[in-house]
This record gives sequence, C-alpha cells and structure tokens, in this order.
Amino acid sequence: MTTRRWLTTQRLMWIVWPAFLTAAVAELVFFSIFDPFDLHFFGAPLDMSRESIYAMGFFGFWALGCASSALTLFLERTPEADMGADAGRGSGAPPR
Amino acid sequence: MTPVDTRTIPIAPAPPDGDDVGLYEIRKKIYPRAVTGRFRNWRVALVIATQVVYYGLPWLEWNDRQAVLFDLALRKFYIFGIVFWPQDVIYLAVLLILSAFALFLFTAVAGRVWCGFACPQTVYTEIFLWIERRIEGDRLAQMKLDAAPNSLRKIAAKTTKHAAWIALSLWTGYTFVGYFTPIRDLGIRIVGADLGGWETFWVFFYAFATYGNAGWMREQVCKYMCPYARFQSVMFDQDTLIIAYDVARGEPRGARGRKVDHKVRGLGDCIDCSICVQVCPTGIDIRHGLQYDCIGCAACVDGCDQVMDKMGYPRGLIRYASSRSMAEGSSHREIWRRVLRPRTLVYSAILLAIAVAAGVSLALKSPLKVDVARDRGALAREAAPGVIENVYRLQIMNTAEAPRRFRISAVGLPGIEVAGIEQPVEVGAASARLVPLRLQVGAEAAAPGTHRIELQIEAVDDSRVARHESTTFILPRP
Repeated sequence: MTTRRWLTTQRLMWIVWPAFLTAAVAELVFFSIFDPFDLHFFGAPLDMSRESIYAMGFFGFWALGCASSALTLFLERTPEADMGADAGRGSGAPPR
Repeated sequence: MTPVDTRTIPIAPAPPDGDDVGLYEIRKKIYPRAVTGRFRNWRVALVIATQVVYYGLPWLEWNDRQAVLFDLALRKFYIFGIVFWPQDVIYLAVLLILSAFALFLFTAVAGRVWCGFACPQTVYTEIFLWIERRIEGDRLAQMKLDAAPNSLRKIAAKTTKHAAWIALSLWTGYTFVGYFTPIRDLGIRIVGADLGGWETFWVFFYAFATYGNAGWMREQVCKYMCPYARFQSVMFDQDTLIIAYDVARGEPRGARGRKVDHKVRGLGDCIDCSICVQVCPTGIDIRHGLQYDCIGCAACVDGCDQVMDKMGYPRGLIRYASSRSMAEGSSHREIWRRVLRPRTLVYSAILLAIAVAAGVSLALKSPLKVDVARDRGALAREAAPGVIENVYRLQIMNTAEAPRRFRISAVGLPGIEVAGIEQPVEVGAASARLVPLRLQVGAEAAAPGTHRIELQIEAVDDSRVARHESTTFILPRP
C-alpha cells in the first residue's frame, strides 16, 4: 500500500470511528427519551416501524458525526502541511 | 561569523513494502505465540464465562418469555423479574455510572485488567486466535504459511479459517439481535428465510464487526481506536499494579548456557530469549517499560515465568508490580497494603453508595405508573345543567407481569366524581392503558378559577399499589 493510500485510509478512520462511538451514545440517549412514534416528519407522523426509525436514527447520527469529524480534520490542516508532500502532515503517527 | 552552510535534507517516510493493510498505520502482522500459565488460565476462564453468558442468556426463559430481552419494538426491557419502561431510563444512567466507576476502580488498582481479561475485543481475539491455531498451526507454522507461495494447502487452510471465523461471527450477530427481538422466533424466521430487512442488516453488521475486529484489526483496536486506552493514564498512580520488568534484576541481559553462573559473568537474569515479545498480542517489548500499547494481559508474565523455571531462576522477572515497589524494592505485602489508598477507597465508597441506592430504589419500584394530562380540546364544559365537567387523559401502566384492576377516584373539590368509565379499570400484564377520564363537579362547589385536585389510582387487590397524581380542575365563570 502506498503512503498516500495509507494516509487516506487513516483519515477515513479518523472521521468514521469517533462518529460511530458518538452515534451509539446519541442513539441511546435520544431514543431513551423520545418514542419514535412521537416523531413527526414535516408535520406527518413517520409511517414506519420503530426498528426502521431506530436504524435510520443511528445512521443519521453517524452521518452528522462524520460531517463534524471531517470538518475538524479539514480545519486542522495547516498551509505548511499542504505545501509539502502529502506525507508531510504533522499530526499523523509516522509509519513504522 | 562564517556563513552557515545550509542544506535541505528531505525527510520522507520510507515506502512500505509487503505489509498488511493497517487502518491506522502501516502494520506488521503480529503472530502472538501461544502461552500457558496461570494468567492465561484466568483469561481462558473469563473467555468461557463471558461467552457462556453472552451466547446463553437470550435462550433462558422466565415467566413464559425470554428472561433478558430489550424489546425495542415495544419499548420495554425485560431483565428476569423486572420490566423496565422508557420512564425508567434513570436506571440506564445509573448502570453507566456504575460501570464507569467500576472501571476507574479496577484501573487504579490493577491497571488494564479489563483490557487484558474481559474486554470483548480481547475475548473475541482470543477465540479467533484459538481457531487460527487449530487450523494453521502454531506461530511458526502460521508465519511459514503466510510466507509460502499460494498452494492448494495454503488456500484450503485460509478458506477453512475464514469460514470458521465467519460462521462464529454470524452466530455472534444472530445472538446480538436476539437480545432485541425474541431469539427463538428470530431463529425460526431465519430458517424460514422470513427475516425483516433491518434484522438481517444488524445480524450481518454485528457479524462483520466481530469478524473485522477479532480477525483483522485485533491489537489496532486497542492501540488506536479505544478511547479508554488514551485516558487510562489519568487513573494510574505510583501504586497501580502494572506489568513490569524488573530492570535491576534482569540487566544486563544476554544469552548464556544453563550451567553457566551468570552472576560471575556479570549478567542479569534476562536471557534475552524474546519470549515476552513473541507472546505479546500487541507486539511490544515490555522490557522498555510501561507503554500505552500494553493491554495488561500478562502473557509475558506467563512466558517469562516458564523460562525462569527452565533456567532454575526465581519467577517474577516480569510480574505485576507497582512502579513504587519497583523503585523502592518493597515487598509483596507492602504492595497489597497500598491497594487500600484514598483514591481506591473513594472510588469504592462512591461505587457502593450508588449500587446500594440503585438496589433500594429497584426493590421499592412501584409496579404502577400513572401519567395524567388534561385534554387539550376543551378547558371545561357543562355536562348537565349545574354540572361542570373537565376531561383528562389518564395513562395507567401496570409493570407487574399479571393483569391488575384499578379503582380511580378524585379528591380536592366537594362532590367531585369520576364519570364515563366502568370501574374498576383492568390493565393487562406489563402493559399500559389510556383511559379517557371525565371528572364532574357541581357548578357551585367552589369559586370560578383553577383548582388543584388529586387523582387517586389504587389496585383493587393491594391498596399499597397506589398512586396519587396532582392535576387541575377548571371551573368557568358562569
């Protein structure tokens, strides 16, 4: 695997994994408090089973978390890091 | 001053070659060597205990239902004799707090014992390694197999291994979903190929996570993905038991024959056999000191003890010890005495207090819950000449596992009466019933305005099972 591909994979994990953990917690808290049948979508009740709403809720939270992680990663980029080679990013652990 | 000759030295990571695809770093595959010993026995015991519970629990029956079932579709959690409703979410919070404090306590006392012995990541990796050894052979055989060119035997071994892993993963995924939807019914529907879309999805999702984490990611999960690994250091102190290499005793290390008196040759007890490195599931050398990659599994302790036995040296060159004891050379008893220190006592006290409070609260949990809301439609109306009526929506939840009948009455205004329902009201086992309730009061009973009243709901068979709910009654101006 090339270094470039390795970094891409690593960044992907930085985005996806913390978002997954957060989504699990968010799902637990949100659906402990709210009954899926009490939720409304543009004013109409959701015409779906609770299981479907739970699952969609989870992926919704996950997607939100991914967006947040990705934005963090994007804002964390410094001009110096972009000037050098792709491998020049400061924060990643050097390949061993 | 002479001008400094500046040169630019380009720094670029060396291109990796032929390594395994690691998700976090370019990873050298670790082939942990099998080890025997007392800590390994503990781990095997815990693997068996946790998995008997995990795979077995959903099959237990209780009161003609699954003993442990988190019924998400009906939003009711059954744990043996107790039924939890969404209103009981506080217990979930309590459980999480208890788990957190238990983790703090264990970590302060003995480092990452959780990681090394009971964490699902360790447990499943251990099971997967066991399968791998059964099929591919021991560490050396595995390394040889991986280095060998593709052959029929290699492909057969790899296929068998992955098939076994996938089968176990699928069973794990099925069991996982079986905690949320009745497992027997789920099994029947799988056999009949009549599984719902989301159920199928979650079975495969969990199976994929198990297969990926225990088969492929392994120590990378502990090193890079686990948040606990990152903040454990704040719970460590000088007296925390960690896996430690006795530098004073071991160094200078070096190879020697069994008959040689190493003291005469100026050598320490470490024969530099590298067994401690070979058995390590995270591939570290514990002789470099405590590292965050160390999951405290004590495999190196077992490995080293065996070598010490063979050499005729005392055991414990690598052992559970606190950093203070290593520095001060304190005795085993001294280490254990220091386990009881303010930090652990405070953690234990908090843990005990929360556990007792939760236990008492569970024991006193009323099998009746009531929720009352005024009807949103009308504030008040005249039901008959001179009779004012207010309408309420009364939700009665019977958490007991037998149907129960309740009598509803109201107090707070002279002559207040419950109308429009047939008393007593029956509510089925572990279910809720919405009762539209009409309360009637004579128009002259009190001054116009809002009055506080109380609804009393009482079980017919047991007057201790009762709830008093406060609400309001509106008397309009005539």
